[in-house]
Amino acid sequence: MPKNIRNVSHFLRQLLRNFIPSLIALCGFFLLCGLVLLVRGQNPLEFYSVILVSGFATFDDFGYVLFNATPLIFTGLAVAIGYKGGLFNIGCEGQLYVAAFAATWIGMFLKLPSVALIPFCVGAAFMAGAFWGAVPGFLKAKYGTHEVINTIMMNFIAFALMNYLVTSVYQEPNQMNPQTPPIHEAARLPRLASVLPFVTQSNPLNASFLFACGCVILCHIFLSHTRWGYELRLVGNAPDVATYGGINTRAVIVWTLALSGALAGMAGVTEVMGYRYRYLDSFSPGWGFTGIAVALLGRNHPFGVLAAALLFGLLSKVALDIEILLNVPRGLFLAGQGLLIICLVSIDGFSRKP
Amino acid sequence: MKHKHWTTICLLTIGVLLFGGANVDADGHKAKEFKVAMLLPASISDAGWNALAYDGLKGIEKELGAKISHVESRTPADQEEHFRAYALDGYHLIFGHGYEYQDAAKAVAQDFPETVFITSSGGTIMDNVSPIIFRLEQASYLLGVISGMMTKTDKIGIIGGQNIPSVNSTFMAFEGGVKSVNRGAEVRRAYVGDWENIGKAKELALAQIQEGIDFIFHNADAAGRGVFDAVEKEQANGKFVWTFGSNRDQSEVSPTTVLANAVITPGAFVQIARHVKEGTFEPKSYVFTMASDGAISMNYNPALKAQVPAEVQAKVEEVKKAILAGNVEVPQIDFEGDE
Repeated sequence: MPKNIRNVSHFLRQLLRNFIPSLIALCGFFLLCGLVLLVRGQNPLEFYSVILVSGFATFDDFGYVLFNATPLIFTGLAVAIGYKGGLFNIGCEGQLYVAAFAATWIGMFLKLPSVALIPFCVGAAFMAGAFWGAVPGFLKAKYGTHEVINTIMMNFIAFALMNYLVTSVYQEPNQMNPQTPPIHEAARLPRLASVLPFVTQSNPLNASFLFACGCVILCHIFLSHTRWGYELRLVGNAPDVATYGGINTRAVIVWTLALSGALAGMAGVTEVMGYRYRYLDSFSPGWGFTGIAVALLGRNHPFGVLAAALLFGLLSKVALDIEILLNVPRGLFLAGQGLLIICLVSIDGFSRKP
Repeated sequence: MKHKHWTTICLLTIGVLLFGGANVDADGHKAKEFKVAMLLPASISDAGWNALAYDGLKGIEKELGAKISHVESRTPADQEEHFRAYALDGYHLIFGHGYEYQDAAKAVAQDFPETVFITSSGGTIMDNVSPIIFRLEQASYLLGVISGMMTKTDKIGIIGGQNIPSVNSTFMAFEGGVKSVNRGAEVRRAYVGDWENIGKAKELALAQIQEGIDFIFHNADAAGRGVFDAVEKEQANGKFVWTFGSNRDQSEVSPTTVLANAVITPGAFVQIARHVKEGTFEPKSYVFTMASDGAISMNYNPALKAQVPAEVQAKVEEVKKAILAGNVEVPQIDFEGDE
């Protein structure tokens, strides 16, 4: 037993050391929001109570938190995997659009039963996201061009290309919105409300959340318990050592970004197959970019990403509710999230100083 | 070893959250008062389309004692999210103030059968979704008559926000009014592309004036300010140019340029809300016209009424009577056939 207790206490200490910057930054963020409200002449306590009520008052509310978190789990994982491999993938936003469109395309045109169609759609999205990530990866491995620049540029290409495809080629006839016709029933992921009795029928939480949780575990196993994960981390931490040790660093760079892109693409799958059942132009409220924040806050660990994504899921529900219930503009929250990340990175740098 | 702990802690956290989530009183923040919300395409300070709707919402608060709330929803994704958030919060009635809200209303309404969704114009009708249709066309037709008779250059301009059926319908009527009294007049249309770009609206208006246009009818919400700015500027240069106000009485917005207005009364919103509150709501198109209790009207800017020649005023009265009597067919787009 004593050994066990020592293990636990060691673990807790390590946990604290790793996540203390995240916690400090979070407290600062909430204090700051309260302060801004105080300056606006509103009661900050009201704000804090809205946070609790908005996220946890009913299972329905909590279901929305999980629903909001789902795409962020994927984009968070995508950024985290890239980061572990020493690569900064800012192209998640573009990758998720491309993947979402690929899933929609298969879902619209392929007539198959669910058991076959769903894997096909997810597979198409996986390939599309992976391709969109692999291009900057290839350019980096082959020519040494920086992946940050290229992933951003790939975003612009994705936005424009998808916008063209939706508005000019696959636009649903007689509709105001720039959107495609719906995908087949068979390609839709079931809502949890249709399976679990205690979930309100209107709740959009769907099977893609479970899929996301599964991917968190898979990513963890991949990173910590497989040879590829080891290679990835080694290339990220010490590329020279990796090369010296006989690892094909260039190949690792390409498939790391491809994997990262594919994970980001799964965020598009949650939208198309889990919620809207069609492709709506510019549907993402910046999930790809929020994914960077999620990964940073979660310390690039899959389980940390899960926790951070849940937090951001809560924040986005709160942001909507304070806009609606307290008439506080959502911009406040977005600015706050930006500050949160800056604080986090700064605290991190500060605490690492010798 | 370390990883096992990770898993345990995460599962515990999720468990606590789920458990805590399921056990709090469900009615904690969902009170029983009558709650009405409104989604608007732009700011309520536009003194036009959005301000009109907000007047209506205020009327609902005052006359029906409802709790009200409003939000600006600009993108289709926003619209759906906002509809959903209000419905989830137990709002009984949610207005989407524009033709463009139909898709979002349709998508969310299926999930919330207890909530009524009303779009301003449109043709989508479901058990809990209905449009209010403001037939601004008849009043717009009268404005067309005024400009058709008064124009000196036989060139008349129209500036719209976006190219959508509800707005185009008023333009068709306006053109019809112009042609009914001045067959040879030329009417030109231009669109800003959104409802807020004042600078672009001003450019369009200046370009039209440059071409010799001397009357401009706008239906561009907040961007309409640009039209007034342009005309005020040209008037200061001594030009004979006028504008009309649309959706709401805009005489105060530009007192020297707005000759007359095509006006919607905010009472229409209150009427719908009363139906919903009293349980007499039925899914159908709620159509408001110049004939129905003056819900739509044409009025002059009191300060500029003297600028309109007596014969024009007499003609307008005559046409108005003919429209109300059903003797004049005002051209318009039929939304009901949409879906």
